[in-house]
Amino acid sequence: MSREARRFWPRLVLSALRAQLAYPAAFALTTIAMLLNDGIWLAFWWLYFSRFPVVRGWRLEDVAALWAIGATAIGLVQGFAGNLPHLARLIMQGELDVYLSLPKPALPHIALSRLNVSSMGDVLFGPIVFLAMLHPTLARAGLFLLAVLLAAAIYLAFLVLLHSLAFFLGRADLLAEQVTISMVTFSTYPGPIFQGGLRLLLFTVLPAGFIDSMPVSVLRAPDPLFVAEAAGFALLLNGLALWAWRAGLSRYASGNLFQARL
Amino acid sequence: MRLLRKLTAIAFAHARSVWAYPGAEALRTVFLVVILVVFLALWRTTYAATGAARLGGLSLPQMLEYLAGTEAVLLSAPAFADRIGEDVRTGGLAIQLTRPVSYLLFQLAVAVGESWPRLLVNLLVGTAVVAAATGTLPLGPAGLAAYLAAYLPAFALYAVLFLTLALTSFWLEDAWAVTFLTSRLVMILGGLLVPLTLFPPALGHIARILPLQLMVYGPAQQLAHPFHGLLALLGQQAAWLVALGALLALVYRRGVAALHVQGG
Repeated sequence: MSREARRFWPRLVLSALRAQLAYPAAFALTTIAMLLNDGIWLAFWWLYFSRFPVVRGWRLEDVAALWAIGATAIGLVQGFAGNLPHLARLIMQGELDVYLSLPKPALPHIALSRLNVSSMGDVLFGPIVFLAMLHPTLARAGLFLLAVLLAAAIYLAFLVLLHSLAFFLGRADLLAEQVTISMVTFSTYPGPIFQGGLRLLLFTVLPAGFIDSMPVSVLRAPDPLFVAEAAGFALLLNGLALWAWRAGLSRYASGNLFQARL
Repeated sequence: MRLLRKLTAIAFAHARSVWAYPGAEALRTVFLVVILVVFLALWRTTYAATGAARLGGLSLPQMLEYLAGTEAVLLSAPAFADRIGEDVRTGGLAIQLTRPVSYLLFQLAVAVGESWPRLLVNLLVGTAVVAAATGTLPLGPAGLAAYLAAYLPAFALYAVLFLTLALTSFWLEDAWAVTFLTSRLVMILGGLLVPLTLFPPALGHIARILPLQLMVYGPAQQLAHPFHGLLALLGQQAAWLVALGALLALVYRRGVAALHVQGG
């Protein structure tokens, strides 16, 4: 990557951030609202575990770790690559032209051009929970970061792959939205409660199983084999997502829209 | 009578616009199916781990039908904040206020038109998932009748509360954060995810004092125990409806007085 390119991407993110910070009160309010939202979900689990202290070996601390890892990873992807959750609609409406005509690679350019403010609350939630509830040490912070990066890599590739379906199916925005919500939902419940065929599904088609295994297999009792499998799966999924994006792009028909990117 | 005809026409027009795209509506139920599959896994594990036949007075099929009932309420809820916020931001409110029907009643009629058909579909899909997963049909005609009887005032309460919160757009421009957080409180203290009977005693006591449980827990509990405590529930709902209705009228009057519409 050239020096100029290395500078371009951080500047793009900063410019998206500055655009949102033009309304500081709204930014703060939305971020706090999402932080509280995540806190309310944790309150639900506190309520649950106050009645049933252990569920298939999971305790409240494991669910807190799951929420910390999941919220940070999903928040990073949806927050900084804020256009990804809208990618199917952009493809469907032929709104890629403006990016395709520019010299930068289209996919990261589209993804990073928008910052989703509400996800900033998710990004903050994880480290706060880690520091407050998960016995932070330097080693555990490293493991937490590793879990977040692996989960984010899987979620990022999953979103690109899912939204690239719009190149082939046409109207795939509602489908993408529902499948994304399903992925996020499965990612926020203790992995061991899902058994049999559902468990298989969660390690293949809807790879939430990797994310909901992180609290135990990376943070509580680090398992090098699981980390290697998760990293391999993340690489494979990213390769597949890139292939689907490129294959889809070759079928893309312009929307003949007049757009300007200032 | 003429007003009622107008409101019915508005409600039907919006119901038709929702169902103009049945495929999109069917896709909306995907989340309901997913969340019920998740709840099934969670509560099946919980019942097995505790070895109890009943938790909080509910068997596993009843617990799942309860959760189908609570999710049906919330997934059918009207999105007042989005609509009113849009009207305030775009200035469209200036036109809405000149319609020959009250803005509040118009919003309520739209909510009825959008929400009630969705509730029935969600309840149907939820019951089908529970029946397929447990092999029993926990919802009978008595449960359905009691649920719907409690749902009507529950819907009115929910609509009045969230309409009041959405009206804060008149001052804040965007009431998203306020309504979003309140909806999350409904999830926890309203008994959406865990029935109030399983709450720790102190929190259960607080939840029972608040009106949030009358919107979700009250109707859903009727699915499992038809007509049990229904009259008391309806009385509580009516009392809160009067109180919150008065608050809505006050906020609306102040909001319209504070409104400053630019342009034309």
